[in-house]
Amino acid sequence: MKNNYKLLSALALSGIFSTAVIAIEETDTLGLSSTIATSVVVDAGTHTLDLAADTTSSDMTISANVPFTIKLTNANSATGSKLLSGTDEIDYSFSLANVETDTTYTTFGETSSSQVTHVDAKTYTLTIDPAAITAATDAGTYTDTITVTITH
Amino acid sequence: MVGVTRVFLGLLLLLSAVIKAEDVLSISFSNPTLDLGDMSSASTIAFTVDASTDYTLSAPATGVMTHTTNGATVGYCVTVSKINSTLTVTPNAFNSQLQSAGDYSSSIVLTIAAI
Repeated sequence: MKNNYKLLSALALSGIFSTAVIAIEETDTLGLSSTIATSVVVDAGTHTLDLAADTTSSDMTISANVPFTIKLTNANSATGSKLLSGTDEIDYSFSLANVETDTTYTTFGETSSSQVTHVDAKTYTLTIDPAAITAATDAGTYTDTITVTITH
Repeated sequence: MVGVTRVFLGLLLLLSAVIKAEDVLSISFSNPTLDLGDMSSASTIAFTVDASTDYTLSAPATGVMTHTTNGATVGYCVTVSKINSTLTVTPNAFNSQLQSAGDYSSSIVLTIAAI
């Protein structure tokens, strides 16, 4: 009988012990999902560059949370990069540059070859460099319109 | 007589141990996935607890939503209400216009443990 008691005690302790070490723990896993919509914000405004006043550059800012491309076109594209006043014309070159991303665009009609992402607004500076204006240049108002197209 | 009593007590202990080992304890969310929308505000989901004993609930206090393609991240905080049986996810403040667009995902493991 004494041996039986010891056996039962051992079993009881074993049961208690097993209860203590069994991890009474359960889990459930929750999946989380979210979608952030595309956002492209361009703040270009309308700028008039005054060559006579030597105002030859203006800034625009772009912020985008998706990769995008930039393409520049001009209204006088049929004649190339020219400021026109009737039949009179002044050649010019241009650049649209962002110092932070070391990006520069200098050709009308070409789309930027690589896509970039600006999750924070970055400033692009458009600079016009007209050919020399001499005494032989006819007086008048010379114009062209440059359009910057952002595509994503 | 003493021996019989001891045997009885031993059986009782064993029985109580067996009964205790069979405590019911389970937890499950009302939905396997919680859509945080654009993460501009907190989202809450309910869960169901089935417990025949005292228990504790635990989940990571913070986590990170990760963009499924480019690895961009948004942190979030997790709060668990035992009283309401709800779990709330609060994304960290950010400007969605300045956060990389696309799909984000993460997961949270909620644990219930007997005391």
